[in-house]
Amino acid sequence: MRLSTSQIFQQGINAILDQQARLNQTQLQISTGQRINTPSDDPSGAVQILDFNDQIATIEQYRRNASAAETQLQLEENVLTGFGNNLQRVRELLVQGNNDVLSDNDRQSIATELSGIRQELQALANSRDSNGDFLFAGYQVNTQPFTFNNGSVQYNGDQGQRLIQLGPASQVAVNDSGADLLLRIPEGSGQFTAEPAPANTGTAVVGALSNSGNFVRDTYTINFAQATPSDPITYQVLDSGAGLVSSGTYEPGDSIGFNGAQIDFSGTPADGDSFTVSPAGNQDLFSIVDSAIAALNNPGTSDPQQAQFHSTLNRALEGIDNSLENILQVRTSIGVRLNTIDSQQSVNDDSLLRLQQLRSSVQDLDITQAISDLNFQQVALQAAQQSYVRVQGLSLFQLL
Amino acid sequence: MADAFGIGVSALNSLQRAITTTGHNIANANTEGYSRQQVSFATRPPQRDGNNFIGAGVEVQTIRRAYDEFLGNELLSRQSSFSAVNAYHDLAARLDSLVADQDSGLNVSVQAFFQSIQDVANDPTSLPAREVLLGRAQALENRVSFFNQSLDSLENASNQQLRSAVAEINSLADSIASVSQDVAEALVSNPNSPPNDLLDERDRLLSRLSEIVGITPVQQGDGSLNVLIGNGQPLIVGGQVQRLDVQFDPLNPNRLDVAFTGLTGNGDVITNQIRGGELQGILDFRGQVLDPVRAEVGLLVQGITDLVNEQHRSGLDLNGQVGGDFFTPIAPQSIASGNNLGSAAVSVAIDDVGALLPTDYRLSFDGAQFQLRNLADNSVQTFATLPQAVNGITISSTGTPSAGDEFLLRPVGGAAARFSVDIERPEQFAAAGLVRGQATIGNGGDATLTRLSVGDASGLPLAGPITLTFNPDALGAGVPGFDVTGGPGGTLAYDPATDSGGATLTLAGFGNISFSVSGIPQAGDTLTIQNNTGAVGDNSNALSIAGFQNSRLLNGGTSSFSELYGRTVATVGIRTSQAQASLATEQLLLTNVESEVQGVSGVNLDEEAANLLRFQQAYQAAAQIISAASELFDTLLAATRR
Repeated sequence: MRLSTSQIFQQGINAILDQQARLNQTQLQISTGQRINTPSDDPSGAVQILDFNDQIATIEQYRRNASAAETQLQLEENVLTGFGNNLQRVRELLVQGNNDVLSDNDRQSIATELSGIRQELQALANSRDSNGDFLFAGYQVNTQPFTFNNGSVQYNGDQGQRLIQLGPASQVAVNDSGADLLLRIPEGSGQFTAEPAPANTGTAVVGALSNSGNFVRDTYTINFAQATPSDPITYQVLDSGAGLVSSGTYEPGDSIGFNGAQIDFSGTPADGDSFTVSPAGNQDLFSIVDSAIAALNNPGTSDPQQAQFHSTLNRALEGIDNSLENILQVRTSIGVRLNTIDSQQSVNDDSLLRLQQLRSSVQDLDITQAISDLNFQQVALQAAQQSYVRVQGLSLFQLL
Repeated sequence: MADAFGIGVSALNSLQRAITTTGHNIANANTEGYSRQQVSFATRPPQRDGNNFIGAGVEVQTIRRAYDEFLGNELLSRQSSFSAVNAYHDLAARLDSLVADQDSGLNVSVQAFFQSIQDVANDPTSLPAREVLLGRAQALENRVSFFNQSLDSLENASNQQLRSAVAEINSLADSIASVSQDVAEALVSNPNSPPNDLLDERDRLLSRLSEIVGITPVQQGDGSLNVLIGNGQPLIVGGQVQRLDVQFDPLNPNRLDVAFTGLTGNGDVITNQIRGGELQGILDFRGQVLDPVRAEVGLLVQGITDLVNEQHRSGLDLNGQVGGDFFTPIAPQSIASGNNLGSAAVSVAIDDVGALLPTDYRLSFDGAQFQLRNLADNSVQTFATLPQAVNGITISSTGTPSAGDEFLLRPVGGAAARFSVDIERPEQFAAAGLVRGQATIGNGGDATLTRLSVGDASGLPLAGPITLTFNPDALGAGVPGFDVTGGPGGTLAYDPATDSGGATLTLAGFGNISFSVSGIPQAGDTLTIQNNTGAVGDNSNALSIAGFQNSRLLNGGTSSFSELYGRTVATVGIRTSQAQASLATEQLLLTNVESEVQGVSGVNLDEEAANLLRFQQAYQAAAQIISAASELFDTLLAATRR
């Protein structure tokens, strides 16, 4: 084929330009370490990388959320530990105060210590987090949740629970309502409670209350009778309609059971003494402590007054146990949530690693391959340049 | 003897021409578009001498250029294809580097925006976190605006290129017409010797023209040339040039069309008829890359605006106010053609942002029916009347249209230009829900009311609390449930025996609040739903908004925000890489044809050197003829002098 001179030159130059372009592309890839520098290098790869970047950023956000949730829950757990320790001390003091050998002075000093603990419990109930938000106010984090007025407590928060996103379908609550924690403490056995009538003249004391099945909700009266001191003590249990539920004889230390309720008594009731058994409601922690303080400050001197005092302290002890259980429940739930966070974190860590590997497999350059390409292209460019120089020297005119 | 002189002189003259032509070839070896010229010699008519014919020497018959018309036309068409792809690729590559860039791409900003909402959810009372959210929203606005400006500047660049291309077509057409006339005149006066350099000049001009727009040259018998463009639209006919001009699209004031301005067909828009050349590359880029990208980004922006706004209005801000619009609402555009004759005004409204498609529409009226053309896939729907609901939009009209009236409907295409953050202060972000539920503290049972969600903000805030009182006989003896006081009233079925694990209940008409009740209530236990006053620690609305990030809410439920943007990246990437591939192919084809043309017409200096030697030697030989004839003459003279 016939060639024109300018064509010979142009082809030589084109070959050099081509080689340079290839070399340049390889060099760009090596210098960025990335196989894909613009979407057109590999459109589907570029979209995959965008997708991976997106997922990686989302997971990193989940990790940040999880650590925020963890901080918040750990703080709450610390406060709950404080509650637990204080309530344990209250329990010890009540057991001590319930002892017959104590003098009134001893009981008063116990009452003083209890008042101090009550102050501490109030402060704990109004704890704030690091941002100054109240921990136990539900959503009303700017409002002091517990205020006290003439010994009665008022809850100003709500029952909102703030959730934090841990994963695509996983949320965890990071606060607990103060109402659930401190105001919803079941009375008595949780199903029923029992108390002596104020007019009782005997020494019978209501001891432990326990459930022996499903309590049939009603208000019952237990009436004791003893015609003459030599007669056995008998009792009758009447329901709210004065219908007889159960009856029998009583020896001091016996327990009386009916309709799912089991009531331990100690001491001896007088003829005509009565006790009321009613369905359990909710009480707040502070009123439990307050009732104990009031009783300890004024235990009374007569036997019937002492019996009332012990019944009251028994109820308070029960209340404190119920509070401890309540707090333990919340702490358990926090433990479960912290576990959830941990396991979600490890899922997130795994996916993060996997996504980073996937992204790297799409995005990163095979450096060995690229360097070998670079060397090859360098040789090709040199060859093109040298052959150009050789061909350029060939002209008939030089021989004329 | 005189014959020998005559022959010698004729040879000297002819060879001189040949040497001159060889020199001309050597001189123009590097001239673009030059075709090498060849001298063809012919014997002069012989003289009759008795029975014999005696040769009378040589003469130059003609000087022709080496040119193959078939290859010439092939070159023109290859050049058109190549420069179409080249122009397309240049524009697409600019967008290519824009879309996936960490700094200019949209995905990073969208991510950052939603992540900052999660940070607010982690600590809803924190003003710094809210400031960050506002900053991220502003950054997203800036990014979208920058992206949109980049698209605008590509649109402007293509307009600019169209303008200068059309100007160059006009000036080239003038030159071609004038050179073509010179050629015709030269051929009239001297039909046997073609005006080689003029023809080269004309071909050079045609070649440049073919780079701008695809052309079909048609040779006329008299040597003049007609040139057609596009589907046979005449650019030069009979020496007359039909001039082209650009004019704004009557439906889109930012877009230029190409139209004739000549005497015939004045104002005819030929944008859609143009084939080949830079012009086609620009027009293809507009239709295949720029418009889809605008529509996809527009849908993304419209989606974020509408979805975030709707949820944001279902929340309470830090001051306890019901949330307003987070982003400024973007109303879809409807543009009536400036050429419309009827009185109809057409409007578009978005009913369901999730059903929107990434496309704009062209609505035209043919006198009886409306035709709605989807500009992304060119599918057409026909309606006898308006209003009509299509793909998440409702098209309605007032007034009377005339046949031929046209409207451009842009539910998404113009959104990116008008995206902006509406809220101004960090407290205005509505992180809290509108309502909350609670169980009364004195309840004997453990029933709880959780997972409140508001269906829509109508009927909210509530006039007063809604109380649910458990009643074992609420729905008749032995059928337990809640008596509802406040709100819609009535009863809700709830059987603790089966539902204590959690039952979802809904209150119709009051924000369509749905919630979950679980646990075992005692008779008379109450649960309340009330306005969420003072709930600065609530983040439920923020969580709902943040949840949009990874949900497929757009494009008929098929795309999340990032997937939609991924689609844009794919569109641009695929178009650009296709253009790269065809650029390489077209380059190869063009180079092949160019070498074939060069093979025929190009100057080879070695060949010319050989020719030079050949003609030089022949010239020396011819001079020897003169010298021999002269010596013969001298011999004769010497003989007769004696």
